[in-house]
Amino acid sequence: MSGLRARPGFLDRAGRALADPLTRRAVAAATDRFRTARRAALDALDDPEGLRDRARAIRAATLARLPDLIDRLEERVRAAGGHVVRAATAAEACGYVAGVCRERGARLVVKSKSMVSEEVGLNHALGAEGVRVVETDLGEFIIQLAGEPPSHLVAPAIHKSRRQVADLFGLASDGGAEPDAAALTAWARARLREEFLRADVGLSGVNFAVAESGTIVLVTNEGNGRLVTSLPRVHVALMGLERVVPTWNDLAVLLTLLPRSATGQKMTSYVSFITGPRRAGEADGPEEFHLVIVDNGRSALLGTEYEEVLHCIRCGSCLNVCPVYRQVGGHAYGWVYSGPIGAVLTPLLAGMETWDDLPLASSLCAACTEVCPVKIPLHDLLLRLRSARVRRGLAGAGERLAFRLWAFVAARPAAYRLAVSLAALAQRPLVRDGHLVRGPAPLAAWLRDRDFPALADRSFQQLWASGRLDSAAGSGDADAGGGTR
Amino acid sequence: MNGPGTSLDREGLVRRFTTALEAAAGGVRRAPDAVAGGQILVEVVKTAGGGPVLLVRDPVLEAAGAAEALAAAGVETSFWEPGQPPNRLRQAATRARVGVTVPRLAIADTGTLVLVPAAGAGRTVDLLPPVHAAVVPTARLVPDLSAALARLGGSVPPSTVALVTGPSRTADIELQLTLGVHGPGTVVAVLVDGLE
Repeated sequence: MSGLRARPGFLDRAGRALADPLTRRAVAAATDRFRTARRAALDALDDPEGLRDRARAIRAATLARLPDLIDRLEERVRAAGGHVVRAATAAEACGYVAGVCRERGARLVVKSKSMVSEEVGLNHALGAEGVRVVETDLGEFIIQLAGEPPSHLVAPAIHKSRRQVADLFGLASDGGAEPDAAALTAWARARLREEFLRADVGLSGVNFAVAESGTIVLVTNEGNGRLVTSLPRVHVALMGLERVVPTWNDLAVLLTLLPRSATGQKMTSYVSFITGPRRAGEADGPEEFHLVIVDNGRSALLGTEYEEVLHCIRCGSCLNVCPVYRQVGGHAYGWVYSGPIGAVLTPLLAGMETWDDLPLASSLCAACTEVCPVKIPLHDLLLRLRSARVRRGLAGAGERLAFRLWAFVAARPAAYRLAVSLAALAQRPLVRDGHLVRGPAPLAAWLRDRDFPALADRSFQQLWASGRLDSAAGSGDADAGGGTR
Repeated sequence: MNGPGTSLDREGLVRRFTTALEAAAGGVRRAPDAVAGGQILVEVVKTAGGGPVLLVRDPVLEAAGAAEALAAAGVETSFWEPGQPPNRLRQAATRARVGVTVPRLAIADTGTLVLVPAAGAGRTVDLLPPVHAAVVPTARLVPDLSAALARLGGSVPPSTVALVTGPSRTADIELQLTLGVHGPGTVVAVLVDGLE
C-alpha cells in the first residue's frame, strides 16, 4: 500500500529501520532483556493478576471522575504553595513554560525525561525564545546531541553504539582505545553536573500525581529527576491530564507495578514525592513550583470507545513483546510514542488523517494486551481504529474494492466455490514450495517481503464432498496450504 | 503473625532488607548498638577513600558519636547547617566524597531508604557526593511500600520525600549497567540496633 500514499508513512520509515542492522540488534537485545526481567519480577509477586486487576480498577475509577480529581489536585497543589495551570493545547503548555522562563530571566533549563514535553514540542518552543534546554537523562542527552527522537520509551538511545556516543561527546579517539560505557557515563556526569548547578529552571515530567495531597511522583534510575527538582530555583512539572491517582493507597498499587513492568526492577533507584515548593525552615529546594496539566486531546477521549488508552502508565512493556516493534524499533512510528501504545495513541492525539496507517502496524496477536499492567485491550483498540479508518474513507480505493469483492463472494456459496477453483488454477505459475511468492499488483507489495501459503489443489469443500477428508486430514501435515501438493 | 517490634519480626525484616538492597547493588552493615554504628561508619568512609564527609544534623548520628569518631580517625567532616546560605551548602555537598544521612524509614521488601529532608537534612546530601552512607535504626524497618506510604502520605505530606534503592544507575549506553551516573555510585546502609 505504500505506493498509494503521497507522503512517507509507516512502511517507508519501517523500511529505513529494517535496513539498519545495528539498530535492529540493539532493539532486539533491549526488548529481550526487559521482557525477561518483567516476567521474573511479576512472577515474584504473590498475586500479580489480582494486582493488575486492582490497578485496572483504579485507573477506570480515576477516569470516571477525572474532572473532580483534577480540581482536587489543583486545590491541594495551591494549598502547598504551588502554581497550577491547565493547558488545553500544546501551544498553551509551551506558552506558559516560556512565560515562566521569560519572567525569571532564565537562560538555562535542565530537564529530566518527560514524554508529554516531547509531545507538545517544548524544547523547540523554548529554544525559539533563546532558552537553552539540556536533557539530563543520559539516553535523552545522547539523542538530543544527535538531534534524533527516542527509539524506546524507557531506553531512548538504545540504537546508538558506544563509538557513536563517543563521537557525539567529542571524544573521538584517533586510533586509541574505544571508550567504554563507564568512561562515557563518567564524562556525561561531569559535564551535566555543571549544568545542574548553573540552571535557572528545572523541568520534569510526572509519573503520577496524587489528588488527595497534591503530590507529584517521579520514577527514575539515574537521579537526574531529583537533581532537576532540587537544585534550580524554579521547578516546572508537566503532566498529561490522565496521570492523576486519587489516593496514596492507589499510588502504592501502581507504583508496585510500574518498575516491575518497565525494567523488571522491584523499585527504581529513585522515586521522588514532591508536594509544592520548599517550605519555611527548609534550607534548600526550589522556591517556586509550577504544575502544568496538559490536555492536548485527552479529555476528548473520555467516554469514547478509546477511553481505556488513558489507563496507560507508560511502562513500555507492550513495546518489548510486540513482534512489529521488535523488528522496526521506535523511529518507524514517526512520533513520540512507539509500539502498540503509540499505534493507538498517536492517531488519537495527533490526528487520524495523518496517522491512519499506524493501527495497521500490528499482527493483532494481542501480546501487548497480555502484558499491559493495567490491562488495556490494545489489540481491540487497534481494531476499532482500523474500522474508524474505513468508516472515514481513509482506506485506499483498491482496498475498499477488494473488500467489497470479498463480501460479495463470501456471501454466495456458488461464487465462492468458483472463485476458489479459479484462484487455485491461476496461482500455479506463482507458487514455489507450496507458497505464493509473487503476485499481481494488489498483492505484489505484500508478497515482496513475505510468502503466503498457496491454495490447496483440492479445497476443503471438495474433499468433504468426495468423502476423502479423513485420509487427507490424517496425513499429519499441519501446513494445510502447501501440504497436499 | 507476630506483632510489629518483636525480635523475630525484626530479624526477618533485616534479612529481607539486606537481600533486596544487595540485589540493587547496595551494601549493608549491621551494628549491635549506636557506638558500634559510629565505628562502622568510619570503616565505610575509609573503604570509600576517606573524606571530606558531609553529615546531616540528626540525633541518631549524635547518639552514634559519628562526627567525633570520624574526626578521631582524621577524616574531614562538616554538617549540613540550615543557617548557612544555600550556595555554601551546595558547595559542601559538591565537595564531599561521602554524604551521611539518617533515613526516616527503610523498606525491607525492596531495600529502600526513605529520606525526608528537614531543617538539618538537605535534599542533596545523599545525591551529590559519589558515596552515600545511611545510618538506619533497625526499628525503622517496615515490611513494604504500602506500609511506608501509609506513614508518609495523607493529605499533608512533607514537601519532598525520596525513596532511594541502591546506587544511581543507567543502562542507556549499549545496555551496559553503569553505576553512579548522576547520583552516588556507592550506597551503604549501616543498620543500628538499640535506637529508635
